[in-house]
Amino acid sequence: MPLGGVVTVLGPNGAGKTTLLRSLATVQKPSSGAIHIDGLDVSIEPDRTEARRRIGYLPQDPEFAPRATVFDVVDYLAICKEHRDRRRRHLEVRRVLDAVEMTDRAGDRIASLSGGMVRRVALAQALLGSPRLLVLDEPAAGLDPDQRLRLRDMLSTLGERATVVVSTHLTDEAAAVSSAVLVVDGGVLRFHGSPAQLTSRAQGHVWVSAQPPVVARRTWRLPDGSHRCIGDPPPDAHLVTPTMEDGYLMLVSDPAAAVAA
Amino acid sequence: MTDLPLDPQLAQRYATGQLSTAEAVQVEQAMDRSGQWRALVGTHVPAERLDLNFMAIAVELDAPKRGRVERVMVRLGLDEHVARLMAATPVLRRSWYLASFLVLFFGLAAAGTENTGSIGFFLAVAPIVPVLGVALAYGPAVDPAHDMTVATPVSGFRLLLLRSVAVLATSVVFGGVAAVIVAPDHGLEVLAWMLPALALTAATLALATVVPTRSAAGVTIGVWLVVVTIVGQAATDLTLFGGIAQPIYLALAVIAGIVVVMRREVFEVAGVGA
Repeated sequence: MPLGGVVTVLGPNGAGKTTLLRSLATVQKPSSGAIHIDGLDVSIEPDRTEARRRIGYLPQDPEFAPRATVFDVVDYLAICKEHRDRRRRHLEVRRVLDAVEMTDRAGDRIASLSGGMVRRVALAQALLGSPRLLVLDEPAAGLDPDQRLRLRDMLSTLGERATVVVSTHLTDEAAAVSSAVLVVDGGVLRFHGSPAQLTSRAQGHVWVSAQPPVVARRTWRLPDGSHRCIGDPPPDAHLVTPTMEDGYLMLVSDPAAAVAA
Repeated sequence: MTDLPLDPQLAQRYATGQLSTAEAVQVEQAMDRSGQWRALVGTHVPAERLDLNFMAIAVELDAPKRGRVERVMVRLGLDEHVARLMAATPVLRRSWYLASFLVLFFGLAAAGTENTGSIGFFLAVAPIVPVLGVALAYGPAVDPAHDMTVATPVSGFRLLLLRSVAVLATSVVFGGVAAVIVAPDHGLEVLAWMLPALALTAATLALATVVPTRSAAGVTIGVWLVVVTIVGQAATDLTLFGGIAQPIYLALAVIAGIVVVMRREVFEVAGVGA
């Protein structure tokens, strides 16, 4: 992956997205292959420690000690990230809490926060030290539409100076902010390209039918009673413009699909 | 909004330090609540400096206060960030201190009531305390943010060692205090649990490179209790703590220590050792 930009990892449940992100974040060792971050081999010291200085990681289900305060937990992780000067560290904690709009809750205990707020605190600690590689596992989970919009804005801004790797189930989120998309399924990379390239996979393969289709890879009923279908269209099909979600569904429903260039 | 009406003259006197403390506090409260007041004072002080000062004050108000343990460590000469890393574990909280002290105290008290001159029960129980402490010092079972910690440059092995040392040190202090209070006549005999404690703690850490730390502690304690029971029935209570046994504990501690150092890599990622 080049430096900069937002790279989204898509895939069905159990596809290996979280394993990939945990490996990228150096939290777990890959069962095979190697990971290099900025030319550093994360399987050996001192490269791994140096790589960790450049990484910010948001896990899929972040948790903190429930009795600790918001400031407390971010401050502790700032120490783990080698922010040793107390005064400067506290200013950095304040900066990242500002970035996720949690400054007003800095003194509150974790137990008093909603799931979405805990996720924002976890996102704040990932931003400590302005890392060059941000690894964010489902950052939009638990956020309301307004917060998602602000998250998109933040990810786009962060992507200007860092590589942001995001996993999500939400294809519209991916289409909105990604410069590149990876699709993994069954632990295998099925696609690597731009959102437009993924969308184009479904070009000419999406149609709307008044009756339930006889042959379609994926189909669902629309509010007006018609059916949106993905697959090989019949000759008289009413083709429609595909979305990135169509491209994704087209890909994961085709076991023979190859990795894009 | 603030109750204090905007007053350019008051703002100027504040900026030039001519107000009494009570008046200054009033202006600061007004600035805290009102952007207009901040702007007014900002006409006499560079706005950037004013913002920085306010941010620094707000940050320090939000910052966590040092706990008692942390304060003691800092007074003992540890760096603030090292003290924080060591203290951020359940074993160094008040409840742990109380539990350790009670275990050691009642162990000694039970030894005293046997009226046989033996303190075997205490010596058998005391080494278990630091092993339990180590089990609660590190890993995903006690630290919900473990994955996030692993992804930082701080070494998991260093964290585990720092906390293990803290646990051992507090156990030694409590054991010593309990011995002085309950069994002052036993002399150095009451300290015979320390090398077994060191050996069991090191063995737990060595096992933790293969299985989760809690399981390692469980195995170590189980084996220890079996050994204590068998040897206690076959010989006297103090056979396990005599002059011949002590070098064996030291050797065991050294061997286990070598294993831990050689396999320290497992503590650097989330996995078995965690």
